[in-house]
Amino acid sequence: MEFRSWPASGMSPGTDPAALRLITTAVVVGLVMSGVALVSGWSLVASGPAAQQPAASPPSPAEMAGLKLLSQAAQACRSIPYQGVEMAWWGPGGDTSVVDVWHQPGGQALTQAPMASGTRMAWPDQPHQPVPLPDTSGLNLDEAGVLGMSARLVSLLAANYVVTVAGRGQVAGRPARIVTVRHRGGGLAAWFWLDSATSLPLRKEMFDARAHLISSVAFADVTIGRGAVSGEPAGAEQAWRTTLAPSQLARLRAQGWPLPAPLPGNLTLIGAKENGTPAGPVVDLDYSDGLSVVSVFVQRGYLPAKLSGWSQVALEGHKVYANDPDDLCFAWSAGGFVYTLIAAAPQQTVGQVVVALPHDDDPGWLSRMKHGLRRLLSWVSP
Amino acid sequence: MKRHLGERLSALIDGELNDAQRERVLAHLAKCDACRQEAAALRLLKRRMHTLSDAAAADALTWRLLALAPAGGHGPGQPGYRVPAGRRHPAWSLVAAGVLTAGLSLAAAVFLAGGDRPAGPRIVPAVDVFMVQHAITTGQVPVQPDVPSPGFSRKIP
Repeated sequence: MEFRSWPASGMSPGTDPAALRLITTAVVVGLVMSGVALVSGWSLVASGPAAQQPAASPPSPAEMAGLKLLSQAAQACRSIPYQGVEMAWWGPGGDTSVVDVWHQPGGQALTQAPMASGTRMAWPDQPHQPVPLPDTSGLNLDEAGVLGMSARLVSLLAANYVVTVAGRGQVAGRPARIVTVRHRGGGLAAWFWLDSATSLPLRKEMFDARAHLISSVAFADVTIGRGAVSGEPAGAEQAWRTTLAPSQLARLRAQGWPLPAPLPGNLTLIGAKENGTPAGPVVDLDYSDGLSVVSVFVQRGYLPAKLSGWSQVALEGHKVYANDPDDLCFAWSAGGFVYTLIAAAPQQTVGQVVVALPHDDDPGWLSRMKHGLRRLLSWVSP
Repeated sequence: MKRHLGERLSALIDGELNDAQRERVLAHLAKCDACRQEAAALRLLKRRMHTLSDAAAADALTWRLLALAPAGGHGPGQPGYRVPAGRRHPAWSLVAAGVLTAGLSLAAAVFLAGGDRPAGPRIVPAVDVFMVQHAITTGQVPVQPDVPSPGFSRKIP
């Protein structure tokens, strides 16, 4: 395995130690403040009391050390070239997938998805129309990074969790620092293994509210450094180009689109995109608390009575369709809109999100009769 | 002043006169136009009354037929006779059935009108496309599947 020394981000060789400590402290404090500011900023976009987030207490020295490591990891995800094989496992019933990963400095981390060769995705309603892929100009690739690490997610982690350095370990033969992420109530939420030399995240494990392991993503093999990346494939999938600013979201809400700003579980809206489809526009809302990521896709219309490949389940008292055996993908329609939820989050968080979104539950025959009587009377005497 | 036949005309029409009385009445009719017209009017009236009495006879036949149904019961016109309950007011049964049908139809119409027809287009979620966007958000940018890759991709069951 090839490895070449690569300076960690935020620290230049030869920097004076005192200045280094000062800069590091400033970076950590800045991250915490930006995390609070980020939450507050989206609160301005949010409507209603649900936008309020718990205030973050001043970080302890141990927490500052953990945040410092994570901030370095986020920077490493953008600046360090690497290539490897990544294993991912989600949920008790989920599959374990193995993918190739490539990353060049400043670019996106490319993964070879476990799909059949030659498969071409298409909109189910219009199977002969290929998915429109916009060009990459103007894309915000801040979220790109292996194992889901980015500066924005670190800011949210600082706002919602307690991050501390736990010890040392080893991943794919490389020494690593272990960072523990805990809920503010004390429960274990996640562990990160960060490469000791570069701070690149090598492994991440997430836990539910009962501290049961719900996901594990780790490098089985990794090569880090200049010249480590070879055979990088071309033609990566692109994010939807049309990003929606808060003012555009507000305009859509005024037109009746149900686009919540925050969601339960301290999930903050970190991005909104729009894309055209043969059936009309789709709005993609992405939420995160720094650890979990939930995407909600909203489009006008209704679901058919039967969805091939989906099963109808009851989730938190609501009838929804489930697509994923890991219970991480759900769809339902309500009020003239179809909601598709894809989550990389604990089931408890997914349940909270499902409850918070609109539903057309059966009103009962009495309510229906009342509604029908009013409608008939309005026909007779408009 | 010439006397007319009066009540004896009715007796003549009803066949209640004896031979002598009938001869005298007929002799008078032969000379009196007024009595002949009155006699013609009385016959017409009696014929019409006879037609009405035929209809009454038909009703009597109906009642007798109905009386055949209950074994050992009292016949119509007999003391203690009671028309069976199901046949006492047959028209009311029809009215009740009509009201019931109309009520059920109205209830069905109200129920159907109370349902909201889904608005907008019929949507099948493009879950594969959405998965890609979600993966990009989480930091995993998939390679387009039809682009050849020097690496490998496999899935462990």
